[in-house]
Amino acid sequence: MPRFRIRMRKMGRYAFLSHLDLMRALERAVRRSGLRLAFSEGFHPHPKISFAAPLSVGVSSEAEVADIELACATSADEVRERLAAHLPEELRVDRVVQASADDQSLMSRVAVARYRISVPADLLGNRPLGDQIMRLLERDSLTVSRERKGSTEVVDVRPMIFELAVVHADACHAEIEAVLATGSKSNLRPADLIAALRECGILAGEPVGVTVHRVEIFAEQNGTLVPLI
Amino acid sequence: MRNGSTLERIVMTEILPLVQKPGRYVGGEHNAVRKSWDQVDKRFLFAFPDVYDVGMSHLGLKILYHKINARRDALCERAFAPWPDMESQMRSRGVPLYSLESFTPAAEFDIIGFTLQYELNYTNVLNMLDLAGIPLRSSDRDQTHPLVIAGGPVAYNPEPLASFIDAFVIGDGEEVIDEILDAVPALRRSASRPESLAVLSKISGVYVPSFYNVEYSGLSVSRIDHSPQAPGEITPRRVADLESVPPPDKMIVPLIEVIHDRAAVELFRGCSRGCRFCQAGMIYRPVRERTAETVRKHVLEQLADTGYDEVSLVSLSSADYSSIESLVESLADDCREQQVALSLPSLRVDSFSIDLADRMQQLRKSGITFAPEAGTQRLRDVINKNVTEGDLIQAVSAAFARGWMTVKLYFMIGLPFETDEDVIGIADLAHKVVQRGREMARDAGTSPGRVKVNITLASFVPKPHTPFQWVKQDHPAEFQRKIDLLRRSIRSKAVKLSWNNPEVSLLEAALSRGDRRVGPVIQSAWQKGCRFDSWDEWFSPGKWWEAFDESGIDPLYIGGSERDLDSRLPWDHIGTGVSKRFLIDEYERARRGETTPDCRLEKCTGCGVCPELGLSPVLYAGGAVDA
Repeated sequence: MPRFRIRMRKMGRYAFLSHLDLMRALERAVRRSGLRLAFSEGFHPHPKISFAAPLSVGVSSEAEVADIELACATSADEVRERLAAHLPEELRVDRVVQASADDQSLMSRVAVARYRISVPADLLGNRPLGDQIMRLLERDSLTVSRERKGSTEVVDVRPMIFELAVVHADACHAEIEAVLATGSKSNLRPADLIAALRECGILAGEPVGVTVHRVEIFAEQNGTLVPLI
Repeated sequence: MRNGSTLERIVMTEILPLVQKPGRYVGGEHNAVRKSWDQVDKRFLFAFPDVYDVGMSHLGLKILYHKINARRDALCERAFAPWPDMESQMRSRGVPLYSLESFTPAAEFDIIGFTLQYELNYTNVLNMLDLAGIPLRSSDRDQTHPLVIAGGPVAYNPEPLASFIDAFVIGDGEEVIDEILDAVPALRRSASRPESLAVLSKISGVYVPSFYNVEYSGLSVSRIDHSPQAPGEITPRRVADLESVPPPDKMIVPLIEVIHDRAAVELFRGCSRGCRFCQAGMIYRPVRERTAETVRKHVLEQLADTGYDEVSLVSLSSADYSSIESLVESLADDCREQQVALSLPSLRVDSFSIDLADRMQQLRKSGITFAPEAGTQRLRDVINKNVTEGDLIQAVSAAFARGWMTVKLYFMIGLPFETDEDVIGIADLAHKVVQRGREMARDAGTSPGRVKVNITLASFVPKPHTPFQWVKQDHPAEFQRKIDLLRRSIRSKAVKLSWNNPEVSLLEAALSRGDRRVGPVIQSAWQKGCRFDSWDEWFSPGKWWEAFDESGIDPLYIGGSERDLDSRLPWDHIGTGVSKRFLIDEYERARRGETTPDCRLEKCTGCGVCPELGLSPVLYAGGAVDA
């Protein structure tokens, strides 16, 4: 059965969909497009669609990567064109490639993701943001407490931050780019990074108006990062 | 004037990151219709007084939404009741109720139409008007405000909301909505609100409560006067032939998971089984079927246009559809091939239904539920639930034979003429089901210990326009006594019992049989913070009883009093097509324990709906359906 790797957006209002909502929206778009999905065997067959890394509700993205398996022979171009007609612009499928059968599962390959975090200026103190971030990166550890299934755990997030840099700042807001561990082995959600920035005083007050956008998602190959698609 | 884009930005950036399930408030669904406001001159807001997840499960919304949007000169957008976390964010930032399509404030529409599906949504209606910045009381509104109308089954007793709603629409909405929209230019030209209401009241099926003066004595109407421009009795509107109103194909597909998250095509409207407690069985008569070819065609088109993986064949009793077997037969292959589940929402208590469900491979998915409603044959005859113990045992046997081990049984408690024997009868029936299941398990060599029966009890609520509209509801203490009696009567560990809160049923009874004097109580309960009363986590009985108390009205008096058969009831001027004579006869037959047959199977029962509304039952004899 042909397997395709697709890259889609999740922008605007669709940022407020959950991971499951996005899966359903993609499945329904595939069904509407007339492409035949492949299903798992067994008592409760489910469509063979898997995303590389779930995105939190409220986070937008231009790099949602998923594998879908079809029950019909077709080309990557055909898949892209058909899906384009059945998804809104803000969920557009930008790229489709045929995945080889022996490709590792997406979930196990993904290693890091790059995010752009936009912070309103009134949440930032007077000291230059760039300096503060430099100082933060010099630290060996950075602990934050996070809620997991009702209990609170303290985690050191520093090893999961690979890059953190101010890429833009003006009177209204600052933009920070962050490259964070993503995937089943080690995962840092942008919300936990924001909590860490609050905990060490870089952000003041409730993070109202902070927006997060996923720019790219990578696998690690021989020590270098390569986009999944 | 419209500030949709500013509103959208505030909602998206400041509010939605802070609320649960923000997908409820963003619109943008597949098949949602976005029209330019400048290119239409009739703007209708469909307002559903419950949360998005419930409202988007409602087929009626989709029917009207797509029907209105099919017009070139009109648009229909949607608004739902915001969940309390969203409401508090909206209030603190001054964001009004807005439409999901264009983020337009509700107050800028020509018409706001509420659908009333359940009495316990009343406080949400008021809350939505308030969030829209629209005065709650109809008499405080003028031509600068949208017209506020309401329809749906609960509108058959419109009196509790009479002072808040400008006009009620009685009957099938798709039959009358075009006439209402056609009247918009005339409404706009009217010099005053009463003048525009006079225009509306000329439309058959429209009830303008402010044109009626009502006086009460006790629980009955002592005097009712109406303005000359309004009819003395409202004639309900009803689609004569469902074939003439195709179901929506490009049906709106929610982005977040909703309660009924699937395609749905109506098989027929109405039900003539004649269960005496059931309001739907009275107010949607007669039975009007679609042909199986039409249903099949629309099932396939809807699936193609929505991408759903499940489709439901809906009606009040789908196994009663004349061509159900051939229809299911003809759809089964398509559905299997597309990996689409086919479902019937309500199973009849017989083995035929199990055969059907089995063919649809539905059993393992959704569990198996039967509704015998009452525990003894005598009481089932009283309520005209035409099911015998033999039917039930046959049905559960068929289910057990197909490997199903858990059976859910629905019963009502507090039914008219109920005795303790009937209550204990529920336990006896459950024990017989368990016994049958164990015998069959033993014969089949599986473990008899796995057989389970779950009983769900609902407290009976007497509803307007039914043969039981005059009877009293049990006192909550009496409900509790009967529940305790039943619990003590259950001897088997395989039987589990659950029941709803009798206080909810009391409120439901007081609201559903209430009159105009209940209006201020609803407003006061809303002011005290009541919202989402149909949700356990938000229901505050204390606030409701306080509100009743302060208004000097006793909910137990409304719900728990027997009414005289010859009294004028507060909803008598709203016609259903069924004659009051028939309801009285049915009540008398109930008292005598006599059943009344279904007019589909035997002769006409004389309910009056066909001659009164100029209709007749529409049935298509079963036959092969061309695939």
